[in-house]
Amino acid sequence: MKKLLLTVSCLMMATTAMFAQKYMTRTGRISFNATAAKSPEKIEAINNEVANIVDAKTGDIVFQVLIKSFKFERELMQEHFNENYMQSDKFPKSEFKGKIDNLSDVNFTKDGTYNAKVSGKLTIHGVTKDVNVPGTIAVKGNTVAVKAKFSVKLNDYNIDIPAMVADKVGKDATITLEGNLTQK
Amino acid sequence: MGKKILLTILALVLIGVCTGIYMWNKPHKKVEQAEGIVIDARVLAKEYSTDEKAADTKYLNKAIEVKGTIDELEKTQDGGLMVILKTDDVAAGVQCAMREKGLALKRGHIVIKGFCSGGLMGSVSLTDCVIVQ
Repeated sequence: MKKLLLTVSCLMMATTAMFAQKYMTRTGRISFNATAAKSPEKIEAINNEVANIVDAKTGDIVFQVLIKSFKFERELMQEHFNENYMQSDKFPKSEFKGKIDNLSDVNFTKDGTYNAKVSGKLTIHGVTKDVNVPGTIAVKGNTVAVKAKFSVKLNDYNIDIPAMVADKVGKDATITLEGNLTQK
Repeated sequence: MGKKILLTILALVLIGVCTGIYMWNKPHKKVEQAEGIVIDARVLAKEYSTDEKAADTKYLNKAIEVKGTIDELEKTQDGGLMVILKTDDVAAGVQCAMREKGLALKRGHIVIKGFCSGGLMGSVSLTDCVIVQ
């Protein structure tokens, strides 16, 4: 009887391990656009080094981004972004930690594109805020493509834009996120 | 006398305009121009996994010349290359995003130089990297 119990519990543990599916990437892509309405220059940057984990079982979703890995076309903008606006020496990282709220709508075992409602905590410039982000999760075999687009108010994250450049840098930034994750 | 003042003003304006143009077209920092901190990938990863804050004060935004063995090669979504170096802990690696696209690398020993952008989910991240050897 004891043996049976042990076998059963071992089996159960094995199944749990099998379904503890984590998807990961470290080459996700994030870009933002904070161009003011009438600005002659585009205020935008790309980061191709986004780390992203999705746990299909719990619905946990984590993004981490290093500020110094954002690339601008112009070095001057990149410098201002790092030194003045984001203070990347002090706050080198931005992070999102949340959950897929409608996990039951996303079938990780069946190919298809699912709408996901994600909520969690977004940390930028050392300030953490609760956010709700709609996105899509596309499942194909053992890969998952995560996409999201949302907007943040720079003011909410204590990012001060001097009046001198207010005609170029907007009050909001549109953030576009894409991760192609593989099962680990 | 008036002519001299006018000339001085003109020269100053010219210098101002030139500086402005130079600043606007300022080239991106190249890691080759910086003196790199030479370190083994295993040691760097260990320092970051032990104390990220302390490691940041030593390495963040500095040019690092890291020696190691290629563990994995990944393509970024924009066609760039990410080199992951072997360390003692699979969860704590060293990742190097290469500056040039379309690099063909063979697995094996390598020396890479890049700017440290910090710790990312247990790994150390270097960006704008070039191959030293």
